[in-house]
Amino acid sequence: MRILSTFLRIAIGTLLALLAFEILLRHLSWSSSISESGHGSTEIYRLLEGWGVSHWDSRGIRVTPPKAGPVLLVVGDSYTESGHVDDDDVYTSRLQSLLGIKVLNDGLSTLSPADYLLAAPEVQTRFRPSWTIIELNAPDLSDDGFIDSKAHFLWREGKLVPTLAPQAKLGRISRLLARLRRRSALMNYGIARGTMFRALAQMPPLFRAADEAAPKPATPHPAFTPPVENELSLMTAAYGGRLTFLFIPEFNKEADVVEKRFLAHCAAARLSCVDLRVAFDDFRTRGRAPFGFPNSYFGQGHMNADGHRAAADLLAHELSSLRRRGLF
Amino acid sequence: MVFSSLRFFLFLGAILGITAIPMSHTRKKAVLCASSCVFYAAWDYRYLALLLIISVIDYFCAARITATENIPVRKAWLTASIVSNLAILGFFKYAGFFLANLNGLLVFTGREVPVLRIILPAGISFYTFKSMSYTIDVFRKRIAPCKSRLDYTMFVTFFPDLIAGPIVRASVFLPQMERTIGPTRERLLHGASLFLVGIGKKLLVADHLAVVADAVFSAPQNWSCVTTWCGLVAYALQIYCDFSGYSDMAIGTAKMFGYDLPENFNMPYLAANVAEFWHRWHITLSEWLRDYLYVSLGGNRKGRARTYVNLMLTMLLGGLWHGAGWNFVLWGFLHGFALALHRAWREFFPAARMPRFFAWALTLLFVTLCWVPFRAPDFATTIAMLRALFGSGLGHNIWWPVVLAWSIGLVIIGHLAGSFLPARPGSLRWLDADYSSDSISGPYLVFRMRTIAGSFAVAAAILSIYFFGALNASPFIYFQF
Repeated sequence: MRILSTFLRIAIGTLLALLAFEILLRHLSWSSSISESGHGSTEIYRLLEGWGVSHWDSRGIRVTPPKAGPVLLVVGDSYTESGHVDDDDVYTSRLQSLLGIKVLNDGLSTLSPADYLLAAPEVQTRFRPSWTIIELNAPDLSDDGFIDSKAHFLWREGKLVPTLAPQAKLGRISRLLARLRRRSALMNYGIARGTMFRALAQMPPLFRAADEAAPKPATPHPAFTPPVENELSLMTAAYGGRLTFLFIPEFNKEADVVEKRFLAHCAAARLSCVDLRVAFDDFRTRGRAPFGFPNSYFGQGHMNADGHRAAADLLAHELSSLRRRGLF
Repeated sequence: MVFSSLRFFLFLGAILGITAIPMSHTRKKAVLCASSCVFYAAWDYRYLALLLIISVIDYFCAARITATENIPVRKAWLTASIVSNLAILGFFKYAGFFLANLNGLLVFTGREVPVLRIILPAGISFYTFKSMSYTIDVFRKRIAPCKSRLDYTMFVTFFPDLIAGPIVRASVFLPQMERTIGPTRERLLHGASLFLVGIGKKLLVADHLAVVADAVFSAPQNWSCVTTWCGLVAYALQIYCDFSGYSDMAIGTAKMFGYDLPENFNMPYLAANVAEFWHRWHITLSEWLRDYLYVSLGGNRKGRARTYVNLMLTMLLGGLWHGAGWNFVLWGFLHGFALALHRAWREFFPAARMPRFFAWALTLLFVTLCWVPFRAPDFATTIAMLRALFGSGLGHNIWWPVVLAWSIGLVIIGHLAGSFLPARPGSLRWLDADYSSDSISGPYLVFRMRTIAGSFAVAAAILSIYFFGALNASPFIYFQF
């Protein structure tokens, strides 16, 4: 009887702790690796890599105060979604204030140029934008668009074709887990963390760790030449040429060949392009970084509020000039 | 096998399960001994021989020491034991350092000695010191020689303290040999409570802080003065939580089998002078250095000047024990100098006492600054760090790592609890937890989980570690020593 009563107390205590964490985790999205930012929910808190509170509508659009007039649509990945900073700090919100027109933030973590192409007909019908901004970061135009576990590009008969990721056939257990993940934040984050721990558990091989410490010759990596110009041309065509590209390079690296080709194509094709690198010198002078948060890394990761401000200022300058020319 | 890995949990569960099966005491000791060998071989089986050779040499030398009362013969066997241990340690740990420095000296002659690339065997600094303490104590007739070869091999190879301490002395461990081996409810509660606290220190504090410390120490020329201080404080807390967390896990693991390992940390950053700091920091190493090195050098028995020299020498060698590098020598020198200065102050101005708060702040500042050469990979980085810390650095990047704020908060809460609660039994009854104390391991928190609140607290602690623990998986800092 005593054992049963002790067992019951342990069970109740543990269940209460699980319940407390379920409630806590429902509001948190603390890691970009746990990409379930919960657009079905209206309010998301981030804990790590920034601590933004973001609000979303049922269409997955980040909520901003209503505005009349032309609509500016922004598509992008986590740099645009930006759960790391508060609603008012995201460059899309700032842009809305600076330009005085409606800006729709349709950013979603993990998206890449193939997604923007595949989604182009739908978003244009749905939101009827006067102008579109496509946010691209450094990996987007290189290998990120060719990862076949998500929407990606394929070469077919000499043409670059965006393709959806193949739908994985889920087994009974995977289906059950997927259902549980949708219903419980504890299960969702628990499984995600478990996957991360499993990835980390790739430890040195048993019984022969000293071999690992010995230096090994580097294996040559086959060179990959991304079709930057083709990707940009496809996106320009898909959005009817009414778009601006926002390029977000890495802070602590010099411009690489992809960025140089991006800028060269913009100039050659007379595209509207904004490169955040223009603002980097100002950041360096002030000892600040456009990326990183006090709870993550300096100069790495996603844009902080300073970075968003710089992006909004650069975009506002570019878009004002387009408006003066009557383009939208 | 790292304590915070799944591999270790499976291993521990299996060994606990096997030792729970009724069998003879000797057989259980053999099981533990064999498991410890597997634990060590899991890192690299080729170095297991080294561990066993050391245990055989010291067991044999101690037996020869005991077999005679002839002082020169006893001294000869003791010397054989110490030379064997130091030769093995010296070859694997210091040969590369020695040859690199020799090449530095030979640069003017145009000659060069080929530098050996030797892999440092895991835990070699710890188990050689542990085994040496046995022959020295037998020589000094402090302990009776171990009668059983199995007992001695188990003492040297005992896996909880094998890789990074605490450095358990034979006089502490061997008397526990007759205890029954295996998990009981009480042992599991005590062991698991310590393990939980240890893994919490590692994953919730140390590994999060590693990001800040690594960023600052990797490029001190980039950072502003304030951020460099943040990086240094982060490292001071990281190394404390990393190593004391590891020690807690080691002591907790040993308790699950029924063995008590000595306390290794006692809130060292509360020390009000450097001597007190060394009574609280890595206690088993500082006591080892005091009893087997400082005392052997003559301690304070050979006059005032010699006492200071002995202090300096002990700390210089203590610094070198941590790693084969001039930075560690500098760290040891600074601590030795501070210990000598503190001793001189007490001797020449016995009545002059600094208010405790100022003494504490000064000690904390000194100890924290000493971590600069300890953590920096070379002298150039040490100088760049010091320049940045004192405002003459080149960098101006500003980063306020928030993880530092909550880590300081957690450490303060832990220190407040550790300072006040052990003296107030029953103060944590509402959590069904209390401080337990044994003469060897010192006070530690035990969660009993018999009430709903107690179970809730333990489950919440485990969930916090699972969900909010760092995922950068920094190796334990003291593994490299």
